[in-house]
Amino acid sequence: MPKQSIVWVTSLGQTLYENLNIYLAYCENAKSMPDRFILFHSKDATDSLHDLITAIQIITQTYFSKEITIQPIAFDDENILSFCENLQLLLKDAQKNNYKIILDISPTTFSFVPVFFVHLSKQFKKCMSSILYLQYANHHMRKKPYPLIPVNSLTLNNLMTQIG
Amino acid sequence: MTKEYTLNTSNIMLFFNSLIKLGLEKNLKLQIPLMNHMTAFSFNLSPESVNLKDFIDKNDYAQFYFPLIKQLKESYHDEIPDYQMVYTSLYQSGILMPSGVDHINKLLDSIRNSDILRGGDVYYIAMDTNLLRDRFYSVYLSKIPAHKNLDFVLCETVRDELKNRQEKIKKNQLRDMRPLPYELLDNCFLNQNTLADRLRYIGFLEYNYLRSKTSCEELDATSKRNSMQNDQEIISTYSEFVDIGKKIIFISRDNEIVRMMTGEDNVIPVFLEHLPGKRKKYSIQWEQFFDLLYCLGVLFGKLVIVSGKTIIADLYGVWKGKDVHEWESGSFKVCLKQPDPKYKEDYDDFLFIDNDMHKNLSILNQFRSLKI
Repeated sequence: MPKQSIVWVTSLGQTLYENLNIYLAYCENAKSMPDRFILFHSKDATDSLHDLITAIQIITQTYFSKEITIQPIAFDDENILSFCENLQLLLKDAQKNNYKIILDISPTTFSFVPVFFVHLSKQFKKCMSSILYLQYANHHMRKKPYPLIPVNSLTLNNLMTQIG
Repeated sequence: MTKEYTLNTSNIMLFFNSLIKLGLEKNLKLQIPLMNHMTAFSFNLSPESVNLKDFIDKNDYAQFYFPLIKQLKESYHDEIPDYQMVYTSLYQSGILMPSGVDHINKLLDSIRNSDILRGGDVYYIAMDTNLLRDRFYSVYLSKIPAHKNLDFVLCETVRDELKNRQEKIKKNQLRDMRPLPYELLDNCFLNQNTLADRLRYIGFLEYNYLRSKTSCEELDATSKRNSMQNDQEIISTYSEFVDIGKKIIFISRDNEIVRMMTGEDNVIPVFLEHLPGKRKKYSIQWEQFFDLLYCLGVLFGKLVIVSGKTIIADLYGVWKGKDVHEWESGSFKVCLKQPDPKYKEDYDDFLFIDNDMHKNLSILNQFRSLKI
């Protein structure tokens, strides 16, 4: 049986570390990498988007000596329905192609993003692998890169298995 | 084979994270080879804090200190840290606060309540050499909220005092420091500054840090080799600086200079004191833990991290070849010794720590070079 493609789906965080820390925690714990990294971002995010893409490649290269396909998807952050349509299309495509989705709901930039992520994960249950959230012992730690945070103060939650 | 990493004080987290990942976060010990492998304290690594236990007290320290001093030539006694220096490292890392700090709190509260636009005075905080050596700005003053009536002032005499240097430590001196093992001394101290100069250097870095972080005024002043004459110079420089509506809060641990300052117009002298304590347990922040390790590393050169009976790593605060940049960034050298592969568990732990540190350091360095 061919290996199922793993697709990481998230949105651009308020700081780079909101995206990077959970990705690092996943790579370290799962000892595997996703095949694709899909990143929803607002249309005006350019510098931070470039930095994040570079940093995700650095992590993937360092851990697995491979490159990851990163697919940024711009959306109008004032148009909630357009985001929902984009996400639905993505998930339909994943279901059709038998992809496995990892939803990262850690970034806090857009309050409606995790709401839609979780809501649609029920509709597309068959292709959902996990819904991840990185929990910090205190909020000051969010400003630091993963390697400099005491690792026992972080919890990588999978809401699919932990709360059903 | 030994693997070496040079890490600054925040990157040392990489090493401790490796220990946590291996499940080695409890019952760790810090030993000091220079003091006949004395255990300075044991510690547990908790998520939000580090818990120190059995911090060495004065009496226990004396059992290591005096036998060593007795055997060393008198001219080298100053190279062996006394207990006061060890205890001071708790203040330098912000774990303890000096007695008298409440007085500063009250003073700063009243300043914050006055309004400069309605004629309130402007206050300048001035620190004596000893407070800079205690890193009092880093551990306390930098954390007080900024206020337009409050600023800092530094007298160049203080800076000059902190810049004083003796000759660096030479090979023949190290050979002469029997019964201390030559290899240990050579690895740590060859061509490095004497203990007194290393402590002064902590103060010098603090002076520069204060200057870079605040809009502090620097006052031109001369300096002498005589500390009494320097005290006089400091007093007269500050006396000339103050004016109506422009006051100085002068903080020192030197009773003498505080007494001499008392009565000077527009100068508020504040005396701080390190009171002896008998606490053996401390629950401290991670940053305080790293600062404590660094201060102890500067005192003793080499520190050893032990889990059970296994030596995990040697941490050096001073080492042969530590350069200016490494001093300025407060760097440690971490040495991991490869165990014999026949001790499988220790060998696997070594491989894990080395691999984990290598990977994460590489990520951090790449982030830094891209300014991420």
